[in-house]
Amino acid sequence: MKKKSAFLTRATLYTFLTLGSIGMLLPFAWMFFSAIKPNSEIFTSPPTLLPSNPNWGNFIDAWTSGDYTQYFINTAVISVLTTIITLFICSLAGYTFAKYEFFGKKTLFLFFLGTMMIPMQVIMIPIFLMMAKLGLLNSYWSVILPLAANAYGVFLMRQFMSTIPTELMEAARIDGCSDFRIFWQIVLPLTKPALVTLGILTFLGAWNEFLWPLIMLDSPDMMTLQVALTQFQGQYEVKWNLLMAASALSMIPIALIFIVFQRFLVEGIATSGVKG
Amino acid sequence: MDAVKSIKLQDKSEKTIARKIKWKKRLIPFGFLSPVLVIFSLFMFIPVVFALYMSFHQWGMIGNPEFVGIENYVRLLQDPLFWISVKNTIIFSLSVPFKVGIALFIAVLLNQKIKGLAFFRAAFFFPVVLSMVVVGLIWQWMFSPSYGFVNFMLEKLGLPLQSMLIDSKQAMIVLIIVSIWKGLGSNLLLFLAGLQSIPRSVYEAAEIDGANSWQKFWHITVPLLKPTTLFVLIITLIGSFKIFDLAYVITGGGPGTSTMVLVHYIYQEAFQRFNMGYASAAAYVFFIILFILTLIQMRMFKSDAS
Repeated sequence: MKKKSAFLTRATLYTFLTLGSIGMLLPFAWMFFSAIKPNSEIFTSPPTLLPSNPNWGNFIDAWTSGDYTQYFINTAVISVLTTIITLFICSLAGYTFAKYEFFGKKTLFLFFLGTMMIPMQVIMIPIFLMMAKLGLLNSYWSVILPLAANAYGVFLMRQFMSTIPTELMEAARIDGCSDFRIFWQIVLPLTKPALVTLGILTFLGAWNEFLWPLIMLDSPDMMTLQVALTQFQGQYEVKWNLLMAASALSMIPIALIFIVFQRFLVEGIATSGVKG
Repeated sequence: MDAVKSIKLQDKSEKTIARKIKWKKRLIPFGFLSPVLVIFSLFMFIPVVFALYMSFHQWGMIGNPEFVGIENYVRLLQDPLFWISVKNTIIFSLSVPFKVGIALFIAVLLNQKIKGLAFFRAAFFFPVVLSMVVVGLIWQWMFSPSYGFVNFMLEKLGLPLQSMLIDSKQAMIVLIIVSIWKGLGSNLLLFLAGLQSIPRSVYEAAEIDGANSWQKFWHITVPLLKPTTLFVLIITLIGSFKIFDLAYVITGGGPGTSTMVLVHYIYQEAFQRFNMGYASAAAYVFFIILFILTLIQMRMFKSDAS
């Protein structure tokens, strides 16, 4: 009797989870099937589920329907540079906050933490005007630099750096190692897990960023993938098969990162939550 | 004489060297902090003050800014469209308890000893890493009234077809459904982390006392998970106030103004009408709302810790 009810509970459990994950994955299936439907099939009402005549050329047509190679390069350059700069300055700052004593340290750290409360919508207007004044609109820097002001990154690196034993640094100092070399050659290699977590989160954030590039980059050869996709959508007659194909292609780097680094992503989100 | 002098000199130079080293030591931390200090000053501290300054000025893209006092704020509070955007943002945010509830429910399911955990977790988590734009596009197509998947299913099931995105009453519901789908994974992870921090022994003790699963959930999981739940509630609420990308992509604020949200309103005033001062005032009101929410969050956590 008990066994039977336990079996029933497990069955319900799996049913719920399976239905749930089908619900989660269905939109991807719909995207994929739509992406390979020929034009004639995309606008049939009622729609068909599976394409009767898959047209793989849609992926190529979608890519060449706009300057997608350029958009891809723009997005990649912005994401990679944002990640490198964020990792460098946040780890250096995190190291300083964790291992040095100096005047105003606590206040300064609170100031950095406080910026997490500032929504980007408040600062986007002054930054836009500043970039316009400096003639930096339509440059990669107009998106990269605001994204690099990442207080969460400083916080995460400080937390991680404080777990590294100070004796290690003192030993190196006695051997005549300069402060920067201690950071670069001794501390940084030890913080790899934190660097990977922060790096992935920063890269994904920059790749997926929409509002900053929408404001800052309006010339067609500077657009990022996200902005380009919405332009595509704004055309009179939306070719949904091509739009879905382009969306799918734009997801590939993200999907790869997800597959390879899922563990770090999960930990990153879980710790950012627990630490608050 | 000479010897004494040279000793004194040597002493002096040693002192200056020592002083130099001391100064260098003091400056090193600031040297290390200088890149973040520069970036944060330029892209956080100065803009946040400057936006406040701008909010008291009439500021178009051309011509000089003109001081107008609190007129921008007065105008803002009298603009019906501003209130519509506030109302829509709040309606959208009413879905938060629901979102958190679903995440908790699935987290509890996933916290059992089950096969295929990695698959289920990945399936629920994947939408989190996607861009709002791609998510918006996929779902806009899912909900397309005549060619979309949702109406296709409704027809197969013999249910009445819905006009969805072109219906001003249903468009907001669509946005809520999409944001549930998009955000479920990250809340789920936070809950899973919270659940795993509850010691097994507590449950085992309850089992010895003969508690059933429901009692265990209600009397152990829920109270011990309270800090996590509060945290998830507030960050989801703050996140939902910031909604823009999804609405911009899926509905563009329409039909009419039925899904025009606060950030969209700010964006439109600033970058389509170029009322920079007025938009800054709106942005500051937005900031104050979020600030209050954050203060509530901090208070809750303080009282919870004590």
